[in-house]
Amino acid sequence: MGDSNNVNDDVNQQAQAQGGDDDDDAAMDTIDPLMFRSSDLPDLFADVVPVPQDDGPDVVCCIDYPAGFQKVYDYFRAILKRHEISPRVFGLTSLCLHHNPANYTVWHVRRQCFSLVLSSLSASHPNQENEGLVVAVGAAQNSLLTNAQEQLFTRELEYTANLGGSNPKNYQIWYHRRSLLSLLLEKDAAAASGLVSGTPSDSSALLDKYCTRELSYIDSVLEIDAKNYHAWSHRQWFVLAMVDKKPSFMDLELAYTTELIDRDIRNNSAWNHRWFVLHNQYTNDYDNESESKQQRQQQRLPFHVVESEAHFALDQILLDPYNESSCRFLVALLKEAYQQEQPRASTLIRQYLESLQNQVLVDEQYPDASPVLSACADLYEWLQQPVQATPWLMRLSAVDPIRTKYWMWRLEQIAAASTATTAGGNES
Amino acid sequence: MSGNKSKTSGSIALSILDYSPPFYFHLHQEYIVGLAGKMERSFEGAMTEHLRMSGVYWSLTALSLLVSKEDVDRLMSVTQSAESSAKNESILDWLFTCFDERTGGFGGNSGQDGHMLYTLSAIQILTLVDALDDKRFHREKVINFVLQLQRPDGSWAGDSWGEIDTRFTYCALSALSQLQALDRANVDLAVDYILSCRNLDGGFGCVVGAESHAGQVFCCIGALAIACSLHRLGEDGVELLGWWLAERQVDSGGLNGRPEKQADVCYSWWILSALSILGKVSWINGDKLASFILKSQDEEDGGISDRPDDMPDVFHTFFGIAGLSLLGHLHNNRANEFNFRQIDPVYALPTDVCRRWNLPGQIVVHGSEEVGDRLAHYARCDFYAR
Repeated sequence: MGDSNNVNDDVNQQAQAQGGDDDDDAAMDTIDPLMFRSSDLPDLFADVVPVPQDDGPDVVCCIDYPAGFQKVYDYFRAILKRHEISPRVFGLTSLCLHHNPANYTVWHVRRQCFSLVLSSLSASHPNQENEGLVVAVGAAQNSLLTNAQEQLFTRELEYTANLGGSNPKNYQIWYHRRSLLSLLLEKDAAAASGLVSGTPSDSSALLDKYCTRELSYIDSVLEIDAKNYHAWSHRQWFVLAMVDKKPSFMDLELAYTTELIDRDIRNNSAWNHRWFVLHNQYTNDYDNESESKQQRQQQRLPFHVVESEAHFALDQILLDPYNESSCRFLVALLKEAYQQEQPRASTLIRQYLESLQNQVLVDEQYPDASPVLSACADLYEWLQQPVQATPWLMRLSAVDPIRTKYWMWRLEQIAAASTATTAGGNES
Repeated sequence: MSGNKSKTSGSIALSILDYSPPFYFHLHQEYIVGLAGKMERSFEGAMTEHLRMSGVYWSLTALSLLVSKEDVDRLMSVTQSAESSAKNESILDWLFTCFDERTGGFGGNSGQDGHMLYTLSAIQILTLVDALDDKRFHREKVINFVLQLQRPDGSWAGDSWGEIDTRFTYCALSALSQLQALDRANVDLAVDYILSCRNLDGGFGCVVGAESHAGQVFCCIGALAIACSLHRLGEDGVELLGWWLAERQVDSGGLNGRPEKQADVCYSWWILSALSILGKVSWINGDKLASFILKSQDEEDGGISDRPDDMPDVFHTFFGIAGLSLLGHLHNNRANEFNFRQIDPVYALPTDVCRRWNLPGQIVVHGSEEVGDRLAHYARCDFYAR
């Protein structure tokens, strides 16, 4: 259990980043020129006594952490003890996260400092500190956020993105992004309900700006690793959070999955996202928005969508019959339709069984394409034609030997069911 | 080349491929015991400082599968600090410094905020070493920490910051079960939430809609087993998931976590434990998997890595050994002279520990099929019952 599936990756990446004070300071320059340096620590925290780590029973007495790391965390432990939340601690967390971006307690403290600094920058706050913060010249005034607040959000999102660059699978970094965006969405919701000043167009402009940036950030992460699990679940969260405000998002998302599947047909994450998008789209089939929303929540796909998606899936199967994802997608699509509308779905299933056999497997082109073979077996069983499934299962037990026991079990189930049926028939 | 010659070279090549190293039991013991000292001095130790509680759980449980409880205690200074120790602190002493008064949970190390992940690890350690009755353990506070993190839709947050993940549902149900407080949570709602995370392929992701992932599957199936709610998957659901899990096995014999990803030893645990609970371990090729794990051992310094020829770490060492245990490789193999303890697939603790504490759970069985003694004490979900 735990979030260290990639401990070795993280450790190796950090090994490149770690170093002494000079390296820290150089690194800080690239992260944020407005944050202080570790060499500033003794002066900024002159009133604080650093606290060493209690890491458990030590058989050997000497502790030899990387130099910069130990110093920075000794200060952090000290401010934790005093429960200090302040701008100087905000800066300290940057230094701490530079050394270990997975330290979740540092992120907690950082978020509290962020909120404090954010509220100190509000228009109504008496002690607004603008010293050192650049206010964009000529930028449109947004009554939801002061310029300084917007700057802070933007800078914090950039900081998080920079940290995320070498740590793409770090749970804490992704969660931090989400918490920042949630704050923005809350402000937007407050404006919409008239709780704060600001017109709907203000909030819409604000959201638009962050929306576009966020999607492009996620795109950039997926550009590097198109299967990054964190990036995908963040994307789903974001898209769902925005779908009521921006219903067109889902259409764009569908096109995005088409593009990614085109790039790599075996990207299972893209196929999963496609399924998610389809089941969360508004449809035009219903007269009013609330009915449409209800249908969306019940996750029923209109039949014409089932047809077009099955067609899409078949096209992908023709391109690569050895791909699990496309076959699973097709079978799941047809099964779901069958459970909702048996007659029409049965016809569709028969049609696709024919296509799989006569287009994909024609002339024995792919005798060992197990995803297609198993799709055929599954679909026949759904049509209550287990005898038709049998030859496919037998072929699978031959061409997919690592799973022979599974395929044999499927055959045994069919045999047992037919014996039971026969026995029942004889008794009547 | 004559037909015979090519056959011979073919069979020599095959035997090289088939060669599985033995299980380097003593080396792994040395590796695990040696880690404690290394952690404090190393860069890797600094980078994993925040999750030390889980690291200790992996070390202690892995070692518990190899040696006796008394030896684990002695070798790892579990209840008594080592005589040579300058700090005079045992693992248990340290563990209780990780209790976070403010939240009522355990952090990953002393000074860290309470979190579901490390609260479970702490409880697992206490269950393992039989210290749940320790006066320093604030049972009621910990139970409340867990309970108040359940959300109205049945899901669980990791801490008050609100990140939701099915991993935390597993942590919560396992923690509460070990503290005999499962009935104080809304278990039915928790089960509803888990089921809402079921995907087109029968698998589970971290939240509703997220891609199926073997680690998340273990968490969801483990949680359903603890909640005795496997029947809610339905017979078809169990079979579809069982097949998806079996499809994770690739040519090398190893298991991946999602389609088209690389095999990794840790999936030997996530997938094998789920298959054990669902009664479908036979659906993967156990010999080939065992071979993959054995080849991922470090034959010089001990420890197991994510795949052959990589550096070992305690995480993969634990899950590799646990995987071999679930396969029966450590127990049925006549070449092994040792009496290794079995691991339980639901709680990821030695089976004898789970039985001693009567930890409740459920498994799927199929009619008259034999259930090994590892799982015999669990409630049965039998879709074939007449």
